Amino acid sequence: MSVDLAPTPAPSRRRDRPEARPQTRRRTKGTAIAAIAAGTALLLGGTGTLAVWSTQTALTAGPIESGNLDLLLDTTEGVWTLQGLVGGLLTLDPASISAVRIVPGDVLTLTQPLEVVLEGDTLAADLSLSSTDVVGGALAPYVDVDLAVTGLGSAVDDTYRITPDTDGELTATVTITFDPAITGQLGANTTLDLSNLVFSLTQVAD
Amino acid sequence: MPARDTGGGRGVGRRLRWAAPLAAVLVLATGTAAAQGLWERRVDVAVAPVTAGSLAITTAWVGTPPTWPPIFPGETRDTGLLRVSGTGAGTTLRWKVSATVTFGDGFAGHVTTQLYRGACGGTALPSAGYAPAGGYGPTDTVDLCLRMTLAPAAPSDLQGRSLVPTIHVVADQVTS
Repeated sequence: MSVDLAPTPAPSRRRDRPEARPQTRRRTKGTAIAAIAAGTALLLGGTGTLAVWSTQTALTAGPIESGNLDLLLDTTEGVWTLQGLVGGLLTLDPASISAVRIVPGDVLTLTQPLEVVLEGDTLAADLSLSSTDVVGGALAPYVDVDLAVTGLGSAVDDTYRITPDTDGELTATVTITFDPAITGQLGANTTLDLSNLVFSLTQVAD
Repeated sequence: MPARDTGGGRGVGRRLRWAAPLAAVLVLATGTAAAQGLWERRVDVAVAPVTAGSLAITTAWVGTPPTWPPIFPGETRDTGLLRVSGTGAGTTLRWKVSATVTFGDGFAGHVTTQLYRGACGGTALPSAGYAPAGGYGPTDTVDLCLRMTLAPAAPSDLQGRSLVPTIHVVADQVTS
């Protein structure tokens, strides 16, 4: 019997590498499966340990309702007037307001009843005209728009803070003033777009 | 292929490094937007556009334009009636009229003028202008007349020269 004692030639590194990787991946997969299995077993075991004595008590508090924020107005109740530099106050028909021709110094006023509904223990809201440009058109640079609301104290930038204590029936007055200081014929025969005249009631976060 | 695998792994890693901050930014942005979404109610007043008016006038001689015989020092000539018509528009617009007169070179200082509202010799037009109570309406009219007198001491070098008056009529919005 003869024994071949010649050393087995060591596999070259170059050849080993590609073969070693699949083995490593298989080993990693196996480890991962084992870990998942162990985790599942632990979770199942943990669930089982809850199935012992327990008790519960019903919460007797009633349902909680959300509050409300709403702004109601009837545009047919709005009153439009026009006051010029001379002459008396003119009451305008809203249906024919497009026939009005305003001139420098005119003050176009909308007196509009509003109903503000604020229900909520922590609710407060700001009432203002639309945040975008209130008026547009070529005449816009020559007019100034202001909002006044009776019974709400002073405004900050034409914005009124309202709380559930001060909500209810209010009267808003929007004044659109055609700059009386312009000269020449600035703004003549141009249009003032009032389609952005929007009352906005927005909950405040601060 | 090992080289390709390694390169791919680096690519995934790089993508993950970019994706993580991007996802965080998106989550933060969404959260911020949601925080601004409080209750709001907007009600449109829905009103038609309003148009600005205008102030404009036209002038025209009533009848034929005036023609004068030669004027000598110390003499007076009257124009006919100059009609001033408002052609503007404005719901509250009211205006007043005023006028000034100028002459060609050489006559300034040697001709005195007087403007009248209506026929010459009637009611003088104040230099500050005139408006009836409440002002003229946008399409009202007013007649003016100009009386000119050549100074008795007018220099002789004005002889034979044309005296051409120019009347500047102004309409101003009444402010009170």
